[in-house]
Amino acid sequence: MTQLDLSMVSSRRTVLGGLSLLGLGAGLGTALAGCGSPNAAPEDAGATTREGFSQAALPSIPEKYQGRTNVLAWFPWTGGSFEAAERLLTKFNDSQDEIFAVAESQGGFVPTNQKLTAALQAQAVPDIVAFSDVKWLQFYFAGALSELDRFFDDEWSLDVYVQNFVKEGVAAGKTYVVPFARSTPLFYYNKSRYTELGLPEEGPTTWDDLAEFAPELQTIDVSGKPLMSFAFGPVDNWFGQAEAWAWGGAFSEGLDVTINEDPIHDWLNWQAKFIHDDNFAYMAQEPGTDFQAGVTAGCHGSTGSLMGFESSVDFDLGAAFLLGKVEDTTKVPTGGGGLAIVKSESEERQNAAAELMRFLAEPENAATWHVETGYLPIVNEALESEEVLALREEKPNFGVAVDQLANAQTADEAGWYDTSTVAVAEALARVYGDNADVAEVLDELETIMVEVVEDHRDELEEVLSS
Amino acid sequence: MTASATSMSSRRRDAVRSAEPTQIHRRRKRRSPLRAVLYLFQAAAVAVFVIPIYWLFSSAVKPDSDIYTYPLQWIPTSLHLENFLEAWRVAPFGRFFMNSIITTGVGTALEITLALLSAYAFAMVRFRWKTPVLLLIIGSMMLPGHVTLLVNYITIGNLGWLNTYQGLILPSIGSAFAMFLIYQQMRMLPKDVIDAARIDGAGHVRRLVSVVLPMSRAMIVTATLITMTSKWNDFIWPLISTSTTEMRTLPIGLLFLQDQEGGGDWGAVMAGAVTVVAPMLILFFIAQKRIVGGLAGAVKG
Amino acid sequence: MSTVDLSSPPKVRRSGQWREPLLFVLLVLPNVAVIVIFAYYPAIYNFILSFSNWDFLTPRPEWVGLRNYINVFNSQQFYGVLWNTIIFVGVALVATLVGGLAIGTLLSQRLRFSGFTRTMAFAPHMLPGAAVGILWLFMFDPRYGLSRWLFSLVGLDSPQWTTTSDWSIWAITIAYAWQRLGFVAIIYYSAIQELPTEVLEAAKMDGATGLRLARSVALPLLSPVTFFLIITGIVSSAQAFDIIATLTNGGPGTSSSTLTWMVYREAFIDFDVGRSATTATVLFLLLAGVTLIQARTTGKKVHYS
Repeated sequence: MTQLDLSMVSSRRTVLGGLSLLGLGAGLGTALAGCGSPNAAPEDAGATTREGFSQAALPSIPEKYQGRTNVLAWFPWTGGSFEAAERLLTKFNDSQDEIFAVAESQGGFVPTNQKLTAALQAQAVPDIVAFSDVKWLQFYFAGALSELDRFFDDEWSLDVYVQNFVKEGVAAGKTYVVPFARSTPLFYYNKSRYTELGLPEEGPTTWDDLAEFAPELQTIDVSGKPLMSFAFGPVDNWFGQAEAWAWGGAFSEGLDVTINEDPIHDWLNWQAKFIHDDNFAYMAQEPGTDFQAGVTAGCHGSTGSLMGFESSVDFDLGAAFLLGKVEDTTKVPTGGGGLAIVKSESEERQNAAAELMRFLAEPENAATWHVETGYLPIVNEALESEEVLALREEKPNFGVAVDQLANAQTADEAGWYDTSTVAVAEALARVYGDNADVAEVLDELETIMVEVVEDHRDELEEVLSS
Repeated sequence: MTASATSMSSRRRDAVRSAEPTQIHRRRKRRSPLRAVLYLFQAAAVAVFVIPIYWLFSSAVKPDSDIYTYPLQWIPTSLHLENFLEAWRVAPFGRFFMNSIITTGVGTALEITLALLSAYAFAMVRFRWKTPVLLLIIGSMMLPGHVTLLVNYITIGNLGWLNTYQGLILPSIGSAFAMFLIYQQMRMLPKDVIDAARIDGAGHVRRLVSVVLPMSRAMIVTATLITMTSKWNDFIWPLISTSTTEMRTLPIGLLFLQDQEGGGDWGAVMAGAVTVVAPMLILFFIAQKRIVGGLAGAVKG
Repeated sequence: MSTVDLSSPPKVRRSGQWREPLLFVLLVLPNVAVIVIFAYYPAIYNFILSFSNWDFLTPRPEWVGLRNYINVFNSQQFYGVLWNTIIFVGVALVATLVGGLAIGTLLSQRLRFSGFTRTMAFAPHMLPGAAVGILWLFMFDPRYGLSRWLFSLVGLDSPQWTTTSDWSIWAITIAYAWQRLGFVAIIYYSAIQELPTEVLEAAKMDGATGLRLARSVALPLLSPVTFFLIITGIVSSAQAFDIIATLTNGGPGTSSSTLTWMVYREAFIDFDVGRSATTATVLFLLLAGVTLIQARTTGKKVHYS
């Protein structure tokens, strides 16, 4: 089987006798030997196990769970969300006596991807990893992920999930990721301020509404400055996707990059005027922080932030659908993370990992996760569960988040790679922060996105085929 | 260097001198307009260093209403220690703390040992190709940090040491800066004393242990403290090479705090930063004479 | 130091000529081994990868010859980042040297509270870069940060430090210089303490006073220290990472990205290992080049053996 050159070294634990310069040298040699050879295809997709790929380090296992099959999950969450995930895993562990599942936080989606990359090189991998939206593709092409359809049956399959979330986990007609901590972006606003001024309690519907409310909001003084209607941020690419749609444009249509077309120009010119000419909005270092502090009456955020905002703001929190423009409502991109199984030498562990996924997709558990974190309910049955309905009753903002699901869809293909999402974020930051020339910014952005699509055209075509 | 000839004798005398002024340097106190201006400058300098540090510590105990406000709230209206509870909840700093102490302690001991051996070799042992070896060691400081990450991960994985203390400690015990500092000190030691020891029949081991080490004490303390600080503050390698909470170190806790969904909570983040920073600051306040004195002495060499 | 002949300390030779070299090798080996394995080996590996196109994940690197180098030198972004690096390193260097010398001189004036000042000056150097970045992000906030207060004193609005391209490079430079300033000051202070009084007195007798005394006598005497500070200053600022990561993430755009930041970004965000390796190689060559030139021009002031 083909393996990474670098990892050839790591399979030789026997060379260990000390600091084996020899072994290290051999690694270098194999890398050089690869000279000139073209990229080999991903590993044989038929094989369900991967020789030599052992399990990454486990934490110490409590007495009562010893002797089981251990499943190690790497999650990006920290704080409250991570604790909620741990509680679900404990429930899973107590619900049966074959499998012990444990999660380790890796401190964020980006570090998690970096860690998995390194772990694959060292051939010591976790069993389950949470990826954000489509960032699992690069690992799929490296043959690192296990195909999930083989674990599906009547009770657990893609059919149980909310369908807007499903497409993002499928490549070439096969499933590699199932939804878990899924979210959509929301428009958050300071309802107390809105009611104080006699503005609609349900917040603005469109960007034009917001522009209309802005002068009124600015009559309020916050620590010597007028209250702003909205705060943009330094990494707005995800929200930008929705805005592109709201203005009737797209990042790409299929594999054709459409980032330099009229609707996109209109969108950014409108927002540039909104910020720099009208002074109705600004670019914050961290919009969420400014929003909590009351400096701005509006900002974008994930549904996953809902629980955090609810508990930390000292005003009446409003959540609304993302603002529309050419139409009153806009499509919104799905976000957050799904779960994948990393191929390893042990079919037994992969089976156990699938059992955990099955457990997390049970309506009751999906509902608990939603209630405790604000991430959306991922399975259809959970939408109608008592817990979810009760929360909706108590905190209507959660209902808004769930209802917006109807408008959720997968992001445009040109934005599937980190290079392009970072490029979009940077382009937006230059317009929001620097008031840079929109046409110039979009010319540059188009070049980068076209390059990304061209670099990955074969891959993308394969993924999109079914 | 021109200064060396003239200052050599005084330097020998003061090989273990601290930064405190000697009587010779002390001048009579004068009162003059110039003096007043100097005090003004000093006040400005203090402000530059103290205000940010004060801001860090005071924000750590401020309630949100004191943080997000303008005009600035210089003095916390109440002691809001919940910030610390929040910080310690998100990142289990207790465990992280212990790991930081272990990796910093053991790593520093190993690095300084290697540094001492190398420095002694360069300063006291005869060898023809010293310069290239020295350049090899010093040159390692110029290698861009991130290029080593992935390959070192694989090397450590190869040894089966991922997520272990060995794995955390080993890659960074090679000593360039600390070695250089100690070497600069050792080469300045008075030759006659060492020669005397040699003539008395002391071998290299005895010369190192009973003559060179005691005479280089100040610099070794300095190098130790500087090494400790950089190990304590190291961030990227512990982040990459550990994967369980049980093995994480303090600075990683800062990442955990910053990365929470729903935006930053400055109070808790500052409380986390204080948790990371405080041990080193305390150590520094205790040992500052040593650090500062030894460092400057060495650099001059 | 040039007066001490280091290459041949003990004049009396032992019987076996091989004993000393062997001892040398034994003493140095552990340190050199660790450095070679964990610094040079990865660096060489990385250098080789600069001739490849690889994403860390596909089975093997695709060898592309000099393509990465050609791309780098043809990319406008590279020159922008190079310029940022020069500004960041250069301004931080000059600011810390000038400020450090001034504060160091001040500290040696035996004022009251100078012990306290000394302690506080060095304290920032003890803080982790990530904490310094976070702290300054907070202080730079144009709405509730110290920056707003400071600028309001002169009737101005705070700049948008981290969110506009014109200011972001200064944000990271200021934060970095703040952290290093006290370190430089303390080094200068201690060096000034040890200036040979005889030489200074002699110069005074010759009629040198004030600035002239400082410029033509004290400064040359401090030049070895300055050399040390320049070299370590360039090397450490060129490699500064944590402050940039926490303060600006290299943005907006690439307006506060330095070469070190790009090495990270190209490898761990873009997963373009070849490009990252190329940038790293260029950075290393620049650093080595600057150090060599510096060592040559400063002449015999600093020796490594």
